[in-house]
Amino acid sequence: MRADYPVKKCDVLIIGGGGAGGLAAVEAAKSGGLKIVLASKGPIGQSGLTPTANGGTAFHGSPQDTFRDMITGGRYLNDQRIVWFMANEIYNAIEKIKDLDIAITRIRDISVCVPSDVLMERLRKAILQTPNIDLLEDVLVTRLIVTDGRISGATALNARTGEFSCITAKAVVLATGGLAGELWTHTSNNPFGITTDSSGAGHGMAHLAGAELIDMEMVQFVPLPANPQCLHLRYFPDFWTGPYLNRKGENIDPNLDSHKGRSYSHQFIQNLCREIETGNGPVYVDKRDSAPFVPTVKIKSWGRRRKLIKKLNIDPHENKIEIIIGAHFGMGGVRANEKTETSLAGLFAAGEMMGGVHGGLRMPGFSFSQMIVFGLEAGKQAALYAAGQQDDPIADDSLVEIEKQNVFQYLQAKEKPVTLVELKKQLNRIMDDAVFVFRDKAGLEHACGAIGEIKKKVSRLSVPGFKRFNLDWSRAIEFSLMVAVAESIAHSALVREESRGFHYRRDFPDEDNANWLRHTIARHDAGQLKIETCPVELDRLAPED
Amino acid sequence: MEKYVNVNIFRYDPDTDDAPYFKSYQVMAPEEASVLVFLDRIQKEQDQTLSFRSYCCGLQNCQSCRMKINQKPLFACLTIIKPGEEITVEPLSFPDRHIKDLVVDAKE
Repeated sequence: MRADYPVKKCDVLIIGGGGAGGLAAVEAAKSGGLKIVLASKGPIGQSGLTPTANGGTAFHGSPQDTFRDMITGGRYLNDQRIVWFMANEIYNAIEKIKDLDIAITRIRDISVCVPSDVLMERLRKAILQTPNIDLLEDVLVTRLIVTDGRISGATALNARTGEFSCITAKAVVLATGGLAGELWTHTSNNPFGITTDSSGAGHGMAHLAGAELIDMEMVQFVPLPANPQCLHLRYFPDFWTGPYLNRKGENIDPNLDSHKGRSYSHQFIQNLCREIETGNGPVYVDKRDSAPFVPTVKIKSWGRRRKLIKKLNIDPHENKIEIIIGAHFGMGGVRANEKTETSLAGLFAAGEMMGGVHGGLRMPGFSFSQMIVFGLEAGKQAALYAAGQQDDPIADDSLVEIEKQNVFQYLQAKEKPVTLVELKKQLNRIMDDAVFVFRDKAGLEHACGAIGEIKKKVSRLSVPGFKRFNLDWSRAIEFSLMVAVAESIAHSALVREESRGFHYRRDFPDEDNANWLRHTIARHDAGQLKIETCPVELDRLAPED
Repeated sequence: MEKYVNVNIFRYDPDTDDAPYFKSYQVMAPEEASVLVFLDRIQKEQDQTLSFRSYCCGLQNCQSCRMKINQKPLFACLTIIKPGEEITVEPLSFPDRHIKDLVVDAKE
């Protein structure tokens, strides 16, 4: 049977146009002879969270020190093999970045700054200059195709034309970024409240294809400026140190500096939430009595951010700034090993979407370290894997046809149509109410049920019928994947009956090392979500109690 | 006090339109906000057929939201409009590299 959609063939398909995807493409292309396709839903440098980042890339001294800090910070929930590899590899990875002609600035002895705008500009240039990389921009991958238990490619929608196609590949690298941008009302991921499309769609695709997700309940929340209301700004370094005050002017967390990750820590965010709950809100960051901030290094984008803060009149050195809490980073993600191999043959994961790296808390600067180390590693490993596969993969035509119908049904008129804005608001409300900083059994059970109801309504989503750059069409496709991610977060949170890192259960307020040094594993099995648990391997470092 | 802004937007879908035209939108504006925020509001609340590059890095790092605002090439994310104001927005380039409405293939 002849397929009525174009098919593109390659050896390695990389999905995602942020730092991890770009680095994976350049690295995979190095082995030569392989055909690489990089598909990104936006132009490189104009999509994903990488361009929004400060560029801080952390390591805490020696590999042993970095390892210990990450494991104790992550409350022993990290995959220790992954962390050990990362703690040792980060120095090499930073050296490799320098090959791209990027000026790396050293910040004290525990991190460097990799300027995100320069990184993405150089990566795009390198990709365009590499003949065996085919760059597809404004192309949204909609589903992974699995044939005989192995990845065989993916389906894609070209946003510029509305053309649906299939890309076959021997290996696929998922580098689709974070999940914290669209599931909650407030998020640091969306500067000015405008989307970065950090929807977690890649997690959803991996999940539906049968790959395992790990510790999805672990989501980091951070303080954000509450005003101006329509301009929720991304986090700013000045906010790291506080002090944070309640309505009465009392310091909410005098021990802020002793928490690993400071204002990025679960201890601090939980203290902040308690303060608001007991009626002592609103809460503020107020640095009017603090020493003025003197930058020790000069970094262009940091200067721009500082200017913007002043322009918008939200400089905590000049005024007390009201704070709200928003979602920031998913520590959970696609389960992978230190070679970035997932539980699905031929599928690799890199960047924020790769789980197991940070455990219960991601410390500042370690997402760029993760992006660089595992972006490069995924490119290398996927190329090795693809080179070892003799036969060209064949994407199962019936699966591609089903996905084609699924993609195009959004454009059709529906009997009882629901709009994307409406359905997303409903999902956000559920996540805000019950899958936020504080959680409990009753709330999570209700959330699981309510997310199930949303899932049923996805087929009623209806978007305008045009094909060229139809924002709601792409968003509807991603929304159906987001719902699967929300479901896995809520169900995993319900299963973890303890408090650890950013997962806090009111009904189980203590960290329970006797029973819960375990991962939650979310799996899509015969159309059903299943949550299992497995022990954390503590071969290098175990808690003392 | 005036609680609206007026936004005139260049519209053209080469698949269905004979020629480009401008469409005017009146948007609720309880307080000042950026052009990008108003475009987002129009697309979500009034007209789902509007296309623009909605991605925002918030730092002038990415160039994604560059468009002509009152004929000047500017960053829509950092161009603030106040209640009562009226603006005209157009794609950075037309017909070269134009895709739809305000969207261009921004890079070579």
